[in-house]
Amino acid sequence: MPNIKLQSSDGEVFEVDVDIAKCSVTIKTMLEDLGMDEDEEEVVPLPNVNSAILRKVIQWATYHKDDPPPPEDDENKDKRTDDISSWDADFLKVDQGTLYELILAANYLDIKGLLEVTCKTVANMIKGKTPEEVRKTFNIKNDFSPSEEEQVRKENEWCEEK
Amino acid sequence: MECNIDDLPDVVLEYILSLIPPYKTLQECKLVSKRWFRATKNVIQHNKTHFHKSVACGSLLWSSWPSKHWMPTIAKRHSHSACTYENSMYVFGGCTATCTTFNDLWRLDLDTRKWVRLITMGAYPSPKACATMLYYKKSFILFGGWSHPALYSVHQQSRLFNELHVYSIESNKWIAINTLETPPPTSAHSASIHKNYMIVFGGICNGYRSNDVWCLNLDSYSWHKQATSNLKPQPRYGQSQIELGDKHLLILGGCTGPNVAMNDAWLLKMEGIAWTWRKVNMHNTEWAPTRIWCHQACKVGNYVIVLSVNKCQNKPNDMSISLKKVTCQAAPSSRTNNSSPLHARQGNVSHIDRDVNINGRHGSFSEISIPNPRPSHHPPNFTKNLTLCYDNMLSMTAFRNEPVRYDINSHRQRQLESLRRMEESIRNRRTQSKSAKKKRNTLSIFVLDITNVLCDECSASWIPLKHSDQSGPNERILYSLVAGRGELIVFGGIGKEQASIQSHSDMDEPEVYNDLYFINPPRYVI
Repeated sequence: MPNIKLQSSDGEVFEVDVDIAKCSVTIKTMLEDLGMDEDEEEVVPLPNVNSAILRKVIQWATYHKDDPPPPEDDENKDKRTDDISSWDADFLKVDQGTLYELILAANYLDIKGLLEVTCKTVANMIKGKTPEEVRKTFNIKNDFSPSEEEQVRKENEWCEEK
Repeated sequence: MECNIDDLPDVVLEYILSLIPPYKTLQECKLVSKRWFRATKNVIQHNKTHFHKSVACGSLLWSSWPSKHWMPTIAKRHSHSACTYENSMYVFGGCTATCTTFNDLWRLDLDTRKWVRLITMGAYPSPKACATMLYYKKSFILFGGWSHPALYSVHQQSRLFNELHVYSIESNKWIAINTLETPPPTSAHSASIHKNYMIVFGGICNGYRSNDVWCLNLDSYSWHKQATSNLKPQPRYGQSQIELGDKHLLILGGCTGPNVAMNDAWLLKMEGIAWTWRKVNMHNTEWAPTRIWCHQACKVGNYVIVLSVNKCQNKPNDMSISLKKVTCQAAPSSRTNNSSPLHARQGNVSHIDRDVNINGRHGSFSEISIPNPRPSHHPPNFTKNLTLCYDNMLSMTAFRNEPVRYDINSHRQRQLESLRRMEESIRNRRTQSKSAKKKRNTLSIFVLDITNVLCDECSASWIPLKHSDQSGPNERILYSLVAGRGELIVFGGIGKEQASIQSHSDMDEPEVYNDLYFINPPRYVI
């Protein structure tokens, strides 16, 4: 299998199997558009991903390389968030900062499976929490004034009445 | 610097929020911060339009929620009443396959999909089925219904109710409301809420079917019978009633007699001294469902969703078998020229089973109660007993009040015979159940476009949809169908096991369900 070299934002170079790298749609199109020859010792720069995250992403992609490709139309998938495989769950036992960086990387590299599983993990952290708990969990500042907050609360109640 | 959730782009945040069940938690995400407020609002709006769009083109998907996930769980039932509020679906009463009625109240948390039995206080409603339960101002209004008397009380009739109860969600309390004037005891009626009025239409009253309109003022709890135009729908029961704003309601389907299923629709304009009924012009009827009675319909935007058996699936082999078996008994008795096996079986069922009495029905079916019902080559047994109920439900003869009398000898003989048959059928089932691969008749989704129902032409049209999808639940009736947020929820009901290969075990046995199905639009990709 031919390899490809990926360079993270902090300059570290990773040598990866092309098929694994191609699970990123971004890299795949880049290779196709540029017509990069596979023997060439070209290095693909990924300025948005640092080495720690890129290592994780490659680890994920290597494990999932034999997954069946996701169906084109997402029709058969329902919005369940409790179907995260145990390997993924273990893989995603990371601090929140890393999790978001993984999401950003998955988004940038366009790796659907990784984006999905990371977002599900965040959704599971939100589920069943009150707004205050959500703010605490994610360290979000409440930028509503008390009157604005009251207004939203009323709006929510009105929605229920309907 | 540590990456924060707010560093994620809007699309990603919205994608995350779209993964959250669209109920209370999502609603409350609006309160987190201004950014979350905008994102949540977008997601809710998107969910809604996406759902409506999917309904319009019929691209809806079934998903079942397996029962093993629930602990504790709700008993199997049909003819129950269901209603949604906030992030929950509430289910009241209903009955078992043997027509034992309940008066329990359950709450399904739609976020977690878990059942909770509510230990309510106050004056409980009677155990009953086919009541209506509607949401009004943080409470549920429960009216009407039926129950059947204790087992083996041979000459008792089933009981219909005109009880009115209000369940206050906040105080978890039932309140019995006594009113001076009340409608007659009614069951299998339909109801909807318009401003501060609950409008009740039709149903089975003691001994007759109704097409009356009753109004309940929900502030003063006073009833009055509303005068309507002379042109009105035929008396019926098991119809669906759909609220169209403050001034209009729509009646869909129902059943005007034991074998007369309707598939018409009527619009009631609630203005003036005498309210006016108008018959809706139905278009594209070739795309209409086969049955719209005892099949609860549900409105989504400008569409009404009805579940029914797919027409082309509707002729399984066993039906023809049962037709053959049955016609020899039923032919002399059924006066109407029923070509449908279901209807033909009606005749069979009505006079062979001891359960006939205890089911105590009401209505007018005297023409087929043969004086001396004889167990023929196909005598009653336990399985039959259940079959009976099923067929009752199909024809709604559960509401007949003609107790069929037997002389004691034949009664005894039949009981013995029934024991023997039961043994046999249990034996049969043991040997066969494993090998039998059952063919399923499943429910499909039908959509009625009611965009033009309030226009001058007053028309509605069925949307042409393909029904290749087999992922729906088994064929059933008397389930509940309610709208959640961006999804529909199907619960319970009574259906029929397709015992197509088990020709020895008597035809088919009704199955009562407590499974949950959700109807969702396909997931959208951001």
